[in-house]
Amino acid sequence: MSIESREGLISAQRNERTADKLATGARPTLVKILAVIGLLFLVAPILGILSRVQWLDLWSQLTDPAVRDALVLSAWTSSATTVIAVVVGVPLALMLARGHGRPAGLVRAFVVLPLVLPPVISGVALLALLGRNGLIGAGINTWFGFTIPFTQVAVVIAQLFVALPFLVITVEGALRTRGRHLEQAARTLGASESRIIWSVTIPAVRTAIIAGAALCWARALGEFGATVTFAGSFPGVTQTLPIEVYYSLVTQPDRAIAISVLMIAICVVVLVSLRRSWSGRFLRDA
Amino acid sequence: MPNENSLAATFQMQRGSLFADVSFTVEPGKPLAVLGSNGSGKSSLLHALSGLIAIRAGRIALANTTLDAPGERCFVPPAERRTSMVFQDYRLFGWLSVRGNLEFAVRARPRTATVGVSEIDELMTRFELNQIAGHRASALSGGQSQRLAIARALAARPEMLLLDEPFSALDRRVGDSVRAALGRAINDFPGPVVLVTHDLTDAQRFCDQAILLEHGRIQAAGPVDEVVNGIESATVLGRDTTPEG
Repeated sequence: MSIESREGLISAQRNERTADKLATGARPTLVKILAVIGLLFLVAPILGILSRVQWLDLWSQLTDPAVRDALVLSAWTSSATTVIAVVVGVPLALMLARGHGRPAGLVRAFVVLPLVLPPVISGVALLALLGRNGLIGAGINTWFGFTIPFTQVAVVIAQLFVALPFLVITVEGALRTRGRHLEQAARTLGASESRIIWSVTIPAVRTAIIAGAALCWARALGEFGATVTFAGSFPGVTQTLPIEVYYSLVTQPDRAIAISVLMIAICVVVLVSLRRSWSGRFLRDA
Repeated sequence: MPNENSLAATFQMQRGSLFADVSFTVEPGKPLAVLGSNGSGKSSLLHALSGLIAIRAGRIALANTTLDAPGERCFVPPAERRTSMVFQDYRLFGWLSVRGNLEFAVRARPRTATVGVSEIDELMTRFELNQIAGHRASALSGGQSQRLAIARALAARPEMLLLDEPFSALDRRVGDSVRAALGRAINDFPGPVVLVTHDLTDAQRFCDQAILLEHGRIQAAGPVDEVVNGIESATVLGRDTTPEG
């Protein structure tokens, strides 16, 4: 190593911070100011809720029978939604990842649609399909003598409609980036296609399935618009946590705040566990 | 007179909008080096031989059995080709143990002869994997990963061995230990071997013959020393010792 380059090395070490800045790019003052405004806009409402919490009262609010009913309902419906989403969503993701051309593009558009559709419209769509006079609902009512809307089944259906895309998109991305190469390797080793799906494809994207399921569960837990439209808000029957928050906001604001804090806490836990699975195992297995 | 277990390939690959022709034969015991710069079509060529991509025209035949011949509507899928490929990025099953990766390869193909524990043990010893038998493949170092990738390819009992840049991701010291292991494996291998590399020294060390590929076309072919000498300067290959990304 020449003397010049050694000196260069030393000065580079001294100016490590400058070097980092050069590598990531500088951050001009105007950018900083606007970024802080943006961040405050996201953080302030959370602080607002936390400032209103009656901490001593929190436990009794959350153990109130009405809240407990809503909590139990929300927990089991969003869990059921997630199980169904994994069972049908992983195969759908596989079809999307392996498909190409116009048909796959069309399917993907339908998969993504609920992500951007206003949830209340999703609820209206489900009513149009499964309502008493709906496309399928009329037949169900005539032949089997029951209707789906405003039942707990309707809660799960509404959640599934809005939450399934989160799982499908997450898993499809992983299948494209990680699954395909490992599938090729298994193919050259002589493994059959069915064996590849079970012992290569699914294990290869398992962390993405877990991440997608967590996102799906969190979205289902927070579902409001489609649920209230399609399943209604009958206390103890279809009144999930978010609906409980909405209706108690006027009459019992402390209860609404207490439930809100609980849901924020749940979301934070989901996010933190996701971060671990994404930055940790997900990358290490690559 | 070609050996009856030779690989004979004459085909057209699709490279972007360009169709190019290649033609070569590889006899057992006389490994072929495929040389060329990045993007010259080396990896595509291996993918065509393994069946991961289909050729546009021509014929690929191994041991007088046609593997791919569009003109005759014949295409043997990769799982039925008995062609093992060692990928540049290893493509190990990270959630399985070292031993589990070998077991996967041994069990992948239904076969008449019973193979199993002894064969795996032999490979584990040959590629110095015994001490890490229980480690998850995702936790291995580069050199360990490459040794396992080669062992896994052999565990599938291939009739042809394809190697894609087996040392490009390894530093010099680790690369040399893998080179020794691969050298023994190539010497013992009973079928045709194709080694894709952009390192001329590796080509001369492991192979008897070579082709130089540019833009999907064969620029030079023949005994490896002749082809390497014919490459006047390293500029033809870019920086020939620098690993590809």
